[in-house]
Amino acid sequence: MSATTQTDALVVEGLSGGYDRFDVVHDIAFRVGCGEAVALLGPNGAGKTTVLRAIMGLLRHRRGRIEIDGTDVVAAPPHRIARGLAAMVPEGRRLFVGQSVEDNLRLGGIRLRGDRARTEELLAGVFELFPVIERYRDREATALSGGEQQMVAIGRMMMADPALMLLDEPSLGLAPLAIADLSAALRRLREQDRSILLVEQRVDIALEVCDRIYVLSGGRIVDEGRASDMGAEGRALIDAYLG
Amino acid sequence: MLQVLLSGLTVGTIYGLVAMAFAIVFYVTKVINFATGQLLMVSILLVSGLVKLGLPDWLGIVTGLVAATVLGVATYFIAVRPVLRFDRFSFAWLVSTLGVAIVIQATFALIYGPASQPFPRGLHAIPVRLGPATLTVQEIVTLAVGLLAIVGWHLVRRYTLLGKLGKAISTDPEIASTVGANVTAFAVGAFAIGGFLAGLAGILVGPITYGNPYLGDTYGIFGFIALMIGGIQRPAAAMGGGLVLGVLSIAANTYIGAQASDWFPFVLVLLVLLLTPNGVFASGDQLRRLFRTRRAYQQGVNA
Amino acid sequence: MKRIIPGAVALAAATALALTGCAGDGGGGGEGGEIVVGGIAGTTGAYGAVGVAVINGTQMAVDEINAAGGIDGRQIKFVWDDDAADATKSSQLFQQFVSEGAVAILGSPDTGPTTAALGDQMQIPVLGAVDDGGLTVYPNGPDEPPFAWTFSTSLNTFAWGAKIADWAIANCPGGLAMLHDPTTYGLGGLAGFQMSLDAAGKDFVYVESITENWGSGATVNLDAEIQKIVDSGADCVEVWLTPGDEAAFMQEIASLGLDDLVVLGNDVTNADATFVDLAGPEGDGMISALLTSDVYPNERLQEWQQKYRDLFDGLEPGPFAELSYDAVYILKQVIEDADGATDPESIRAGLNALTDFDGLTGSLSFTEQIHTTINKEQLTMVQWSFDSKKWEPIE
Ligand SMILES: Nc1ncnc2c1ncn2[C@@H]1O[C@H](COP(=O)(O)OP(=O)(O)O)[C@@H](O)[C@H]1O
Ligand SMILES: [Mg+2]
Repeated sequence: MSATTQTDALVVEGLSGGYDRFDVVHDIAFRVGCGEAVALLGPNGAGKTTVLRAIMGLLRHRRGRIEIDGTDVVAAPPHRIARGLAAMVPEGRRLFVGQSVEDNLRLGGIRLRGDRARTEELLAGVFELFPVIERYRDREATALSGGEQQMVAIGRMMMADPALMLLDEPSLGLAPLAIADLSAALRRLREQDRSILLVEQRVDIALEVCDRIYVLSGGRIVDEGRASDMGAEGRALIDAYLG
Repeated sequence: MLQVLLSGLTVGTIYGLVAMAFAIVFYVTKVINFATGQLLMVSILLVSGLVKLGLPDWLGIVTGLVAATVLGVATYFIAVRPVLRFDRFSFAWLVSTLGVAIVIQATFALIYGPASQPFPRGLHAIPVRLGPATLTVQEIVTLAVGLLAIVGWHLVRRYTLLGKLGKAISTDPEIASTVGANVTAFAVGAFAIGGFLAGLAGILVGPITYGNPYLGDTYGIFGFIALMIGGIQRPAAAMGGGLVLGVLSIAANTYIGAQASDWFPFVLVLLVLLLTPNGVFASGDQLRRLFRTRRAYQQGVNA
Repeated sequence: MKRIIPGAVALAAATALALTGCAGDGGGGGEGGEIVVGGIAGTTGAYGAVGVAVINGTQMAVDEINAAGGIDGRQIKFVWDDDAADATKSSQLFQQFVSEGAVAILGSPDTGPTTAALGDQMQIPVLGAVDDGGLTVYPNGPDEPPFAWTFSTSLNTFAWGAKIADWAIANCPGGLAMLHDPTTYGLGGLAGFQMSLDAAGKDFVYVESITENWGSGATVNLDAEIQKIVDSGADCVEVWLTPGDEAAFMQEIASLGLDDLVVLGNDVTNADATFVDLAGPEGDGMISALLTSDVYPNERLQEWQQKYRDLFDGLEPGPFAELSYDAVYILKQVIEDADGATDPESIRAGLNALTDFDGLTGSLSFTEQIHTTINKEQLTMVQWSFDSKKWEPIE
């Protein structure tokens, strides 16, 4: 057992889990340091979403050790994990239908409902990062463009002010211009010393935003390294994994 | 005319409260609690029984409401949670909630016997003249409760974060849980509110229909029809469906014939399902779409 | 009376309860062995108390006869089940009991049209509480022949209708209105009224048919009907409805201050305590007819009623228990008169010839044309007094 230091936002060890009692991820181990941004790369169906769901508590069948900010959450329900430990931008955004942009954001921060000042501060932070969506705060969230919706989804996650931020393929389905905005926003989050676990298919975004990367394939971690060490060969290797 | 409207609204409020009980449970859990009508019956019969034993009316009423609420929650834990835990998309609750309905009904039939029991007349004994129409105080209270339920629900849903969280659970329980919603707690709350509303409907209609173990069928079915008329997606619309059903049934009785209220509700529900499949109050979209396609079709024909 | 079960729940519940009922285990019957008698009654549902009374009264007679040595030395085997007021269930039970060797079927007070029709079809005597007489026994009206195999000792809607109508003709100068249940039960009452009205050359000022919740006991909103009755100018109204709706009607007109309207009931209004319990003080003044033998019970009936209370934990006896008790003794007498023959034709012949049988419910007779024992001459008009808690005779 490796000793957990206070510098780790997330420690995963021996994690296995899946759906209907069939494991799709096996014996996963990795960590995200405090203030570190880590990318989880891998081809379609590798199990990236499954790992994120396990961390967020959404995967019913999961075993091993998942420690967020020093707390073991492998048996905790999602609403417990949501109390300051982790927050997530889910695959496909999944904004709350029929509710305004502002309501979506405020729902993201509902765990802080007792602390009005903190909530307003966080909301201001979101609007500062994404000035576009402040203009649309009263619009129905799902009526926005894909890029704007992704901003709302990220904002919703930020509103929880979590110890660990989980993002599942935020670039998926976005126009090139929106992707550039997105990666700028992610870099700014990174600069705010947030601890981030980013799942991506776009290697360039991952390398731009993250300190370290893990490569997942067939439900197992098959490679890891520092983003800065990734030379041309390294990228070629990842690209090979991604197929 | 005024009498028809007022009588219809009072009857409709009862149907509407039962429909709302169905709808709030469905809103949060996507489950229809087929024991809802039986919860109405439980509150009526408990009041009848306790008052007969010599308890004051108010204590009987409080007990009846508490029992309906508790039984609503028990239904969740006995018949809904286990089957959904086993398979989140299972429809086994269709059978399991119906099973709860049968057990509740059979139990009360065993305890009380099949005959109807008197219910304290209370406020129903006091008539109030409103121009050409006459209502009782009980009926006026019923109308007020209906209004309160609809306005209260609207305010909670629209203007409180808790209401918005409930709406979020309604549309995407999984993501709602990732922002901190305890979905189980909300489900328990929904079954509790559903039980309470059904119990409340029972207290309000008790002096009119008396206590009988088999009442759950009649009011369950009419509440369900009101739900289909108003639209299952929105609890406030379910209350609207009850009012429409109540007024049109009484109007049909008055202007078509005494037996019209038997078949009329079913015709009404068929019409509603054909014209606006999500209920009359679902949103204007359905109707608009209907007319838009008609217009597009005619333009196509004319072109 | 016919009850309509409105929902799947009621059906399923009734069936569930029926499973715990007391269906016989088959066998028996046959010459020299036990005499099997089948019983069908709705013992569940909002008005299941009637079915319970029928079964209790029958069981009491069967136990007495068996204890005293049976019929011609043969024991009676009484097999019964709850039909839940459901015609399909009733016909299944009928055929089941016949296949178990039943020599006659008693009942049903809830699916009489079914048992009466099956009696003719299968040529098996049907006896006792067959709905409430009337159109159930005379499907084509009072002037046409009855079902050949059905012999009702039950309350008779023709008799109650005609009796109450006679009173109304004499006491309601402003006119008579009627609300009635649309089944053979309510239509039988209507036919009874029509007989007396036609004879007097009169007619209703207002008649309406109201569908009732016999199964769930829920009341029906009668506001619109009350308005129409008031508009018709009637000073008397016959409410041939469920006891629950009769009670609700009384309370509603009290709320409206319609104190002068005279309200008339039917045979079930006073067959048990349901109406008076529900109506409370507002039930005061309700008028109906009662078996004269129940208004002025003789010593024998009083003793019998006490015995009934002792046997069934203080349950109040009523006409349905009494007339079902009578039916068993009628069957006994008919079989004994035929020297123990239990074939259907002998029993039917014996029933058609029954004359002045001395029953709890009066002196009872059948003929080829008359297949109901109770007629209007056996009834007395009564009025409910809330103060004395009694149906007081008013003639
Ligand atoms: N809800 C589910 N039920 C059953 N199997 C699933 C479900 N979701 C994903 N899987 C399976 O799990 C494996 C990993 O999926 P996922 O974690 O979504 O991959 P990735 O996010 O890397 O594309 C795939 O083989 C997929 O078919
Ligand atoms: Mg994925």
